[in-house]
Amino acid sequence: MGYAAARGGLDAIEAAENLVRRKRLNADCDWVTPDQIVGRFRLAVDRVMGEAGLWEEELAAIAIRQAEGDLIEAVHLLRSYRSTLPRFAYSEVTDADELRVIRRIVPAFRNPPGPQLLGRTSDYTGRLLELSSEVAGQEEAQLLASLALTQEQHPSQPSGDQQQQQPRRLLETLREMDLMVDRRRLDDPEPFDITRTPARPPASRSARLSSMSRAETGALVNQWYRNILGPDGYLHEVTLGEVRHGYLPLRIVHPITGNPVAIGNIRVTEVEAIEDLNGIEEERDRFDVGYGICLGHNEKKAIAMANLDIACHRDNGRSQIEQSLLLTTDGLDSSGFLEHLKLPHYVTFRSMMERKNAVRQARKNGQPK
Amino acid sequence: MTSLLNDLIDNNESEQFGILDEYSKREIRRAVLTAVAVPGYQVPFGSREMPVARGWGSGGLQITLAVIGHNDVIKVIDQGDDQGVNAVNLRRLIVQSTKVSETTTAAKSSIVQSRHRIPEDGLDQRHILVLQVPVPEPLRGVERDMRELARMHAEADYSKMWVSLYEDKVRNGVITQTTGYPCLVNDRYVIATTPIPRWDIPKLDHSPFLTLFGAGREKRIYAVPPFTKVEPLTFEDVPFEVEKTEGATCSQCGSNSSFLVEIPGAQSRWVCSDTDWCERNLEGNL
Amino acid sequence: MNFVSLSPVDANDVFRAMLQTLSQPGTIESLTLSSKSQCPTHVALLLSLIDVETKFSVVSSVPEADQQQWTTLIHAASGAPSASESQSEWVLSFGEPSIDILESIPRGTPHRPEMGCRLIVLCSEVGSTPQFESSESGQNITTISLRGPGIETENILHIAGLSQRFFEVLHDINGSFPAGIDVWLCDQFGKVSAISRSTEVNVVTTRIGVK
Repeated sequence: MGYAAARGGLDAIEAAENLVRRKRLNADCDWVTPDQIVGRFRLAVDRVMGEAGLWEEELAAIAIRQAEGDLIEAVHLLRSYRSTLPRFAYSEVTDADELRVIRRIVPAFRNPPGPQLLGRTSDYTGRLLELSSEVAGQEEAQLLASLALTQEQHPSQPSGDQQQQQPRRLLETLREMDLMVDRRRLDDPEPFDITRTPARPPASRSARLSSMSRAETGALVNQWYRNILGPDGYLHEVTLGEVRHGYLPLRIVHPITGNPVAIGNIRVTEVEAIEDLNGIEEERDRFDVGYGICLGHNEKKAIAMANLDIACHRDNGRSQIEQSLLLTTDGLDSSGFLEHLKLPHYVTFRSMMERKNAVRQARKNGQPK
Repeated sequence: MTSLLNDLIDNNESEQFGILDEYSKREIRRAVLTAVAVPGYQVPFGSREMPVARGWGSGGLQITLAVIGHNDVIKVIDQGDDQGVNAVNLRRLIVQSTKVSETTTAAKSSIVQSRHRIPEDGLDQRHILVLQVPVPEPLRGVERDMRELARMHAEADYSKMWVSLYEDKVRNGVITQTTGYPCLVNDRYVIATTPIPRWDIPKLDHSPFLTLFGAGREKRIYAVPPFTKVEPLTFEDVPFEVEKTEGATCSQCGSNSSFLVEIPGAQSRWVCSDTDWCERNLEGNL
Repeated sequence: MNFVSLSPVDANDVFRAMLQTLSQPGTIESLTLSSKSQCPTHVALLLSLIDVETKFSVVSSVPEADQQQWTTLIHAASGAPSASESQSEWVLSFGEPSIDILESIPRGTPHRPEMGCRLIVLCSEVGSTPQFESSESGQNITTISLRGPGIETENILHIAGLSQRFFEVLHDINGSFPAGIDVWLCDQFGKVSAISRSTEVNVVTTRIGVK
């Protein structure tokens, strides 16, 4: 009867799930631990945390492993998990100047205030696939591990003075030189929470920034590129003022003492982009600034974000760039909707076939074409 | 978890875990009430990430999980079929997390979650029908800018839609809208009737049941209350046409009064899309 | 009472009753809460749906109900912030609210109908027949007819404790639909009915009850 017949569909799903699980667990190679993924694919881990809006390297690594390397799928796993977590507290506002840098560059000036710190980057290294002995690489890794050498300075063991770790921003210097438009607010409005309310144009800047901060990296880079060189063409490339990668402290109010207490650090990438104002109604003797920030080490995303931030502001609702940013850059929305096309659509298809016949019938009956 | 951490968790949340927390349920419930109060208006809500992907019924699922109570009986269908893999997955998620009873017979249910169909029979004043909506915006084809779309709905300015339907008729001899036919609700809002076939549209007009529409990806909920006017947009001299093929009957139960889908081939065969209705018709159990 | 609480299961039942009555304005649901909750029904209507993000207020035109005390209890049970009537998304009124209050609560706009306030009014009695269980003495007894979405043809509702003026003002407020306010009427017996902003309400009769 009705319920017994339901077994058919369930059997099919369970068979598919078993197939996935068996292949994932029994691949013809060694098991991979979250440590290895965090250690060897750190940028994938960082990207997934950024798009999920959840800071926890091990969980991101587990998600990547479970998703068999499909990063958007991993983001979905992490975001669903985030949905189930209880909320203890809201963090206190963090001043971005507290960022302790492990990498910091200022393309706009040769000698900016504070250091140019290349840090860990392969930007200037030739893109040559290293096929030299696999064995040599493994041996070196083992040697380094046994000597317990770490690669990056940890914020709890600062070396270098405060100016090295928290360099003065180029923006401050430009402000002193009276070269910046000043859009700093004196009020302190509540930021828009995109996890609670969907953002639609016209939206506040905080809604745009938080949407971009969680956007899919490729989507945001593509939005940037198609606006520079593609058919949309609403923006112009910026000069970068700051590109920073470092640690920010996280604080909450202690439930008993009522005092703010630091509970840890998150690692972020932060960008300040200097925009040359050249519009008719703009202050042409000044610069303006765009801001980008995201979890983990993800420079292309933060740079695209900063450029798109200032572009949106300058666009001021004339075009649909804001709508594109708010509505088409979320990885879960875009890939979910795309892949839903694989679901059965035979009711809609039957309806379309019926209309094809109707149109042909109407032509036969001498209706206008 | 330490007892201090336990204390910090909002009391409302600690009792009710699983897929959707108490906090989220309330927000969805409030949005549902607004949708019912303003029939056809797309109410924004903070759509949560669900274990099903966006575009796969996350909105419908959120409504069902927010609304469902321990005494409810759930039916889940996709294209009219309880056995459709997506329906099976959703039903499994719902039943595992809420422990409610399930059925395939609409008359025995109290909540029906459906993708793209309204059951042929069995829904009355006790029922809530939850429809999964891929694209909630009926004016998507005639306007791209969201600010303009918001204005059109706020001011009930649907002129662009009417022009588009008129041009369609002139160009093609018939209105070529397939599923998801735009309808005017309560003489005020035009809605996207999800991709339900035109066949099912008359069931919405003055229905005895409440229909809730969930769009998880676009984060909108709308509703058609019972006994509410739902009119497909058409012109006086252009009758609204449902999908009907002359001579087609279900090769299983023989019906020609239900929505049929084609099994293509040299000799096309037809079957009922509503599999439960078809079985009952075959057994003389309607 | 020095505290109120509503279990999640009861909150769901209450919500379903509110949904049912709003979907079919003028019909009546009877609410009883389980032993897991400690709450009068009219307060449960509010508690079932508010949380830390929804501003609410309590008003009272009856001496037995202390507006301040109830506000404190409800805030403690839900975490919802209390606010003035003109800022509230939810208003609970013990007895008929004054015209000033009615006119000050938010109605939303055509662009944002969701900002329209939800009003819960504790009446003396609400019924589908003109016979009341409780004493009518000195009460405003108003019979209204309702038409519109959710109503097959017409529903009739009899209310003890609301005057004709209340419905006239409500009619004016909801005249600018889709802006408007939605109202739930309830009584001490746990009976609940609702008037959607989409409902066309007409006063059929009104009188002052005698013993």
